Amino acid sequence: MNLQFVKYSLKEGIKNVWINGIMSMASIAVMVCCMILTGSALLLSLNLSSALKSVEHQNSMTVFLKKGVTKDQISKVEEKIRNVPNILKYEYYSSEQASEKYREVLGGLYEVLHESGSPFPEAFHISMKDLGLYEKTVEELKSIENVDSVSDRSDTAKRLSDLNRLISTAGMWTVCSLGIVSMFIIANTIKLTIHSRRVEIGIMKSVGATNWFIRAPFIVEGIIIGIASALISSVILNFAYKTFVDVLGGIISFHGIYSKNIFLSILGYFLIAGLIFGVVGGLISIRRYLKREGVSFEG
Amino acid sequence: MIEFKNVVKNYETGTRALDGLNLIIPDGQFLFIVGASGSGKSTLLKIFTKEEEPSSGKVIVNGLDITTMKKRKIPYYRRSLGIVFQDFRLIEKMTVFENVAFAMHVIGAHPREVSSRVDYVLNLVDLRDKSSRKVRELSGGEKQRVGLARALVNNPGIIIADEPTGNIDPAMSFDIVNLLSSINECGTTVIMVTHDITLVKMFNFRVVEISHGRLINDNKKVVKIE
Repeated sequence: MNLQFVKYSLKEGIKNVWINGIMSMASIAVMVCCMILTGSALLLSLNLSSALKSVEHQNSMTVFLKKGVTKDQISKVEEKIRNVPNILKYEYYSSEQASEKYREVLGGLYEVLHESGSPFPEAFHISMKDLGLYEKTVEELKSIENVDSVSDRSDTAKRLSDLNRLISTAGMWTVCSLGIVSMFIIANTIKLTIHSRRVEIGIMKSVGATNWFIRAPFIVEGIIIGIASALISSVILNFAYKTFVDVLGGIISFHGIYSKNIFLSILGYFLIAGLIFGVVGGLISIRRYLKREGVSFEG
Repeated sequence: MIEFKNVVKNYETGTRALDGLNLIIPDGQFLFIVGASGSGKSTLLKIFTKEEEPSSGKVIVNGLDITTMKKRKIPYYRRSLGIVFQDFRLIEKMTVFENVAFAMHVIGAHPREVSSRVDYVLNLVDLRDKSSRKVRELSGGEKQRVGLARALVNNPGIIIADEPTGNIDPAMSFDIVNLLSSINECGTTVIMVTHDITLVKMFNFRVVEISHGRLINDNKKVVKIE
């Protein structure tokens, strides 16, 4: 491989993208969509992992009492909670306190709900000593008389974990299928370029250009499409996700993970993917063409 | 020397294009191949340029049996040939200079070498003053001279011209063959396929006639002495 070969391939590759402008833009647009979908799945999975970790690290839970319990019954429950060995501290949280807390959030609905008394049950907020005994402690608390339910975070953790696994699997399939789609989009775009340059290819063969000399510009074309798609999709994803985190964070208590490193990693993955899809897409189309046309000069 | 030894070519359609053809072409010869349409002339050239493989027989070029040549070696073999097409096969959007230079670029020639060599061959075909013109602005005869310049630019030992005068008027046709003749005088072997007998008769070169895939006439038959 000499410098002339590299220079020629780069120049012709860029020219190919330019000549086939509309098709190149169309394939970049489709690849950008594919990459954004893949990146979104990845970000969703990262956020779920982060939420899962935060749930797993919380050592608190809420014990809800049955509706209509008396003060005497509440005291008895408190007594029994105090005797559970894994309890670090507890705090009584009355139905009225819960109502006050949600007054602002509920607005007009608050009054409607309060027509027949507070809709919130009496509760205890509990902190545990040892997270390893989480499930056992939950069972003990549930067995206490007049306890209606326990906000069992192991369920939430399990649900998050299941969801994360589902998204990871779906994400992997998305990456694979969109990867194949991207490759064929690039291959088809290049096929059109090959068609428009078939006379040149015929001349190249007749004067003794090697197959690599013929292939290289089309591979460069694929790489340009792949890299352009990677850059555009990374920028869009970064901007869209940052806006999403900011906007959603202002409405609900959502703490989406965001760091420049994540986007540099995504950009890195996209560039590698774009490069691979570009090279493979380019190779598929020109190989198929050269195989079909064989050594003939006919375009 | 080029030697066709008992070459047979059967196409998948069942057509036998060449039927045991034997032909020897010494170095530096000018050879006309004539024959009716479908006689096998083009198949003969296609086998020679490695566009087609013979069903049986051998083709030996300068001592090398090209029928057993590996695919990856074909481009290097083709660099020893200069091919002129009936339909010119020029890139319309390029200039005369770019069309000729293209043949050098694609085999990795150095730009400095390209420039001087292209100027030289354009001078040979009398097109130097039109080097910056787009080929679509040229007449048929001029286009064929560009094709000839492109065939010559990589300094091949053999020129193959497949009906090079098929798309141009008689006066221009004479000029083209005259040009090929000048190239031949410098030692390049020229093989020209044509069905223009009038043109052939204007030159005193070897003429072989092919019919139904067989050589039926040879005015200056060459016999190899083993």
